[in-house]
Amino acid sequence: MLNYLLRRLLYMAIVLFLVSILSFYIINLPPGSWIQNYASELEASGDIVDQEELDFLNMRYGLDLPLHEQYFRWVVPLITKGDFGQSFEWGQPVWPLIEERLFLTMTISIASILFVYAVSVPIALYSAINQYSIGDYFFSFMGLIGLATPNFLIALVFMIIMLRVFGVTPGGLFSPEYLREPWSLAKFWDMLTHLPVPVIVVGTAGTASLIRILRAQLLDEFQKQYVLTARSKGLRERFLIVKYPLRMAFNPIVSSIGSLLPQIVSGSAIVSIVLGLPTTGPLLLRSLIAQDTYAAASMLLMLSVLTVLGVFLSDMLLMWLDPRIRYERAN
Amino acid sequence: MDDILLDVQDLKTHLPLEEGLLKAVDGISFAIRRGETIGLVGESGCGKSMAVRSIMRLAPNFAKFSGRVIYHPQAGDPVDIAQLDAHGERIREIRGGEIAMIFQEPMTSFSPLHTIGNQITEAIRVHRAQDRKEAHKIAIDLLGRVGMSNPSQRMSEHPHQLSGGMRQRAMIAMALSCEPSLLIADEPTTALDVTVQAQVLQLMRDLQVEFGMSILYITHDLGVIARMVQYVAVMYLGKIVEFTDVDSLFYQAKHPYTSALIKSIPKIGKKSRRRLESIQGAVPVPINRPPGCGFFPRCSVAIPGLCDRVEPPLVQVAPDHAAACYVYPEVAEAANAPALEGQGNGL
Amino acid sequence: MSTRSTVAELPPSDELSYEILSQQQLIWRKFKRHRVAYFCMIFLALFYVLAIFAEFFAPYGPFRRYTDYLYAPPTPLHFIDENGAFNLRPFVYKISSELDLNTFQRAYVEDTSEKYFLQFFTKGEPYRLLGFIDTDIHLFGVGEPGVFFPSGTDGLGRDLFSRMLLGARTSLFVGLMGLAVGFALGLFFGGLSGYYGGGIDMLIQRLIEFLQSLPTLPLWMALAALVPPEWTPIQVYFGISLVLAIVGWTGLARVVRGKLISLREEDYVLAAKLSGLSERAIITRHLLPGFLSYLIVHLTLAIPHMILGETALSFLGLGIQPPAVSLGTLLQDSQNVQTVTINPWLLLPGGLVVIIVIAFNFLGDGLRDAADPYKHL
Repeated sequence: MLNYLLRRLLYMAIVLFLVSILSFYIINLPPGSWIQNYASELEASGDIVDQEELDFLNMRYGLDLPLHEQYFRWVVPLITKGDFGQSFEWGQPVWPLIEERLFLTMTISIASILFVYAVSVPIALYSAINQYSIGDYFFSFMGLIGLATPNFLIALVFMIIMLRVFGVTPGGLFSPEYLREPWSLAKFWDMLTHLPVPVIVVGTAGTASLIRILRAQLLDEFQKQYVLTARSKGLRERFLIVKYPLRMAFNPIVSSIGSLLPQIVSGSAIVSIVLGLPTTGPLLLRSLIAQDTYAAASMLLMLSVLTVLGVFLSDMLLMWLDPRIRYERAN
Repeated sequence: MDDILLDVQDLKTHLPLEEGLLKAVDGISFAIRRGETIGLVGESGCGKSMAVRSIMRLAPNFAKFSGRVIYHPQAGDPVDIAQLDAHGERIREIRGGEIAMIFQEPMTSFSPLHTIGNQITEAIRVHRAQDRKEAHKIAIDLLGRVGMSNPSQRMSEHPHQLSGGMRQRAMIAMALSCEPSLLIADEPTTALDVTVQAQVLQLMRDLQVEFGMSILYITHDLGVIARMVQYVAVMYLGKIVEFTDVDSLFYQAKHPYTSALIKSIPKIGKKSRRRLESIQGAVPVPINRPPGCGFFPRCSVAIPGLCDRVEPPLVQVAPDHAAACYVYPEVAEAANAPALEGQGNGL
Repeated sequence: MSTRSTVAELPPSDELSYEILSQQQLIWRKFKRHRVAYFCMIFLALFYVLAIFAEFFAPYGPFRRYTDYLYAPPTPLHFIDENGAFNLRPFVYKISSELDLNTFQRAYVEDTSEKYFLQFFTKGEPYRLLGFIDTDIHLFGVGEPGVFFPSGTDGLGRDLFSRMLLGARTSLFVGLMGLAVGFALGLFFGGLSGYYGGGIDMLIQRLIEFLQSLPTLPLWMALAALVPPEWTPIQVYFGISLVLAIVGWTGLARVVRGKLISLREEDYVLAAKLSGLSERAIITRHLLPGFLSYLIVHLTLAIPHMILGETALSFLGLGIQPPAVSLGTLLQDSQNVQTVTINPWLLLPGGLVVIIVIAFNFLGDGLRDAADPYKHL
């Protein structure tokens, strides 16, 4: 068991190491660098380009070094000191820049996953028990629409409805008075009241797909022999559905966290851009376009840390839930 | 007939499928007496499993279901199971409490996520209404009686930790936990090794004597029939085509289908190098079946013009021996009158 | 071989009065019974035709600007004129704009004094059909100076309907291209993994797990940022397809692998091996038919993912770049909530995306059910 855990952790470390290399290289693949972008931007706006300043920046950020040396300049302090380096564009350390945004991304992702489960489990259960009923068709159809609508479109529609019906422009995660405040209970509460819209928007696609998966899974489980056994024992239908098929269907639900989490993180990135939420999404987009290597690579890495960690936790949960998996892994 | 436990009359279970009406069970009648063992034989797909599921009211919801299933409890008035609400209180009392069932696949019959103990005590607590500890004790005792070593440890094990034979023993223990008066065994040994099969069969016979229950034994294995049962009903395409005691079945089979089945058993000691006989053709698809005897296309003694027109009814052709085949004048006679009215199954 | 002789001794199947259908026939029958899926297939086929001949079906060229008609709403089409008389041929009224001095917004009103009848096969802006037929015939249009914008215009006064048809072509075919590349990758790696097993399988599985654990959109964003800005629209187009494929092949590879492994264990494959069939014959005659249907199903269900991916990327400005038109770039115009709220028809391309994706999903579902013709409950 401990053996398995250690193996798992080692594997995670390798994955993250590969992610760091991959993201660093991908970001640097486009021709040019941040300095060149910066220079051409200055030129375009008619400013005088100070070659000395450019040289200084080049040296300071090591942008004229070969790529692998640049990589080590970033990753070595990261591992040894937890230092994510400097953002070129903002001229300040990366970590304070992304710290709060990461936290908010995590908050939205977790809240969205909870939302997805809270909505899809009862609906799937209802649909599976009342297969081919009007309600089942209704939910299936709604699910299909939810699945087919791009996240950003849902966000847009939400905003339009808010603007038209309530005359308010939603967006952001905080009321203006808390925007620059340090964290407090009141600010946290303020954030919670702003969460529903992004959470619903981010969670819709996941909810729709989970309903589909879960409904099919439950229908499958209903056909299983052990359900017949339970019925032949004279158990109450309601009781046995919860105790057996639903419990069985929990396995794929839990393991679906693995595929749900990347999806949710992706969704929250684009939704944040539309809704103007201060998460990693908008900053990442900006850093990618500006080739702000350290900032972009750090964010990609941290997002991967979030997903990998989530998958790991779901795996642990699965082991706790399913004796077969526990048994298999113990040996 | 006295001391009847279960009386099944003209039981029909029709499944309306996309492809047409599947007459899975098409008017079967038989009775089981107390302490008696009856076998239900037939090829796969002949409707035997659906028949017993219908008796327990466990057929799929969309199935069309008719007929009478009169159950005579030890105490109290007879009850027609066919009339009960399939999800109601009374049928749940009967299921597991008075009529118990064991299934073919001991692996899939248990939930893999719950312990054996959990699944057995659950049945005990539903029907005997005892507290957790008491139920636990009963379950351990039962596991010991079905021959499992170290029963108290087995209680906390999961199904995948047991062998196939052990699982089937646990299944039997679970079925017997509430001392039912009828045990329906749906091919309980088919998935087991031959040696384990023999042990399980022996166990069931011992327990039958001990508990004084009746057994309805479903199988396609005539060898098991010969060892286990007193009376046999042969099923073909949703109908019973022959009903008799086990000796008559093997030595004086009346229906051509039964004879063919028996001929297809390999025999030890015969020196012939002949090929083993098999029944020609395959079981026809039971959806939108043409009229007449279902065995007609495969039968060697079929009478064209008669057998492919009117379904032969099941009629007594010898003492304690009924068959549904026109080679017996009694059958043709019985068919005559109702046949004109378009009715196939009189008796 | 004993198996062969038994087979030969079975009575000829026509002796029984049952229809014997091939697997394909069964699948087709079952599929046709799935009405919605069948309908969606026809819809998509028609839509592809519409997209391929977009210039012909579009009344205007995609870049033609009507500066008098910025943000004009969809032009109403009439059958009954101002006097209540019914015209068999539909017509539009002259549209004139007024600047509302209170809100500083343009308002468009119908001027019932002039009407323009809808004409078919009219001469309009010249274009090159399929890339080599020069013509200027459009399916429909109204005579100048009348205008007919079935879905309104955008901020530059371009006909949204015409742009949507062209954009749909880009999006639909980027999806297909991405799919083709992803399919090749998936088939290759999945096949390798499933057929050889062992170390190769292990390696490829880890690779897939690795790629799947990455958040898709940031990865897409990073990869799309790779596409150099000086590329021509066609190059960008291929670039984006490639980006979509690089992330999208893993799912297909898993399906191929899983199916191959389960098929490899099937008794009939063992039987084929025992009767001395060559490896090649086993693959082509027994394995491929076994999972071809599954592949088709998965491909159908993968297309909408590609389309959604393209839309999202282009919406963010990382995918297809203007002036090239795709459904995603069209939606860029709706990024500003104020503008969309006033001009809601700008969301129509989004509606089109939803309809296309739903149609593909239904089609995929229908195919999936049909691919398993023996399962009926």
